Amino acid sequence: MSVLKKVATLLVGDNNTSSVNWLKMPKKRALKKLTERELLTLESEVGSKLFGPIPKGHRREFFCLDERTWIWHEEWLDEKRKLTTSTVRYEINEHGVLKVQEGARYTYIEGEELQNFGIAIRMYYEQVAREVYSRDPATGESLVQ
Amino acid sequence: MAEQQNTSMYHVPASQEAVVVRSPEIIPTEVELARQQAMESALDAREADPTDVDRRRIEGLLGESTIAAAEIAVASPELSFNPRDPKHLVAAGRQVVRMRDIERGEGTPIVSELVIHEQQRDKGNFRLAA
Repeated sequence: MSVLKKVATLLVGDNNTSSVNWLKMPKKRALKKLTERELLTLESEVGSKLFGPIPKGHRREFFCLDERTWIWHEEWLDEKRKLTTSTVRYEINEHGVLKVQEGARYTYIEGEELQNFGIAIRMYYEQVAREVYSRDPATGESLVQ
Repeated sequence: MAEQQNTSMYHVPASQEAVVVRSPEIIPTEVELARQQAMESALDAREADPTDVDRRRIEGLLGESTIAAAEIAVASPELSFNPRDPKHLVAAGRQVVRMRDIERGEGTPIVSELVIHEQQRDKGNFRLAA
């Protein structure tokens, strides 16, 4: 009998060796360090929901690549069951927000689109802070004690 | 002889006795003193601000986790967040990246994290990372 099992037996008074299972850490736990890609995936889960319900059969991603770059990606199957994708890169510079789409299309977003984009970024920050990083978005303090 | 003395660099002509002539060596000292006084008064003024992260960090008054939290919060979008202002948008993105870096352990560490040793996890063993 391992030392761990002996200790468990002493603590819980149970000779059943399977009772040490409660000592195992859950595999899905917050404190394990994640890679940047894994964190981006978690952030994107939050980001994808900022723009309302995702149409059935669509997969959407929206995430912050770096402090000046945001990515929108959506893919779905068209009527002919062909996979269609759309990726938009938003680049923030001192002049505004440059929207870069496939086919070398570059436009500065304005009006309602710019307003919505800005609000989405703010919501992204607040929700990602709480849901992914467990931090209060207003104070930056950890919500996990 | 008297004429020779009058050619001295620091000679004060009789007609201008009221004019203060300073030694070149004194001036830098005074400038330095004035600079120090200005710095001290500026620091005193900053001391009144309990949220001054830079000063408290220098003085070692903050724990690492507090510094990390404060750095995120310092640049947090305030109520006046303007969704059309590129500076505000960049600030929000910067905070996200900062939180991400901290989580990955590349920023200021939040706490010593309990990291599961992947190979031993299923045996119920884990180790405390430094």
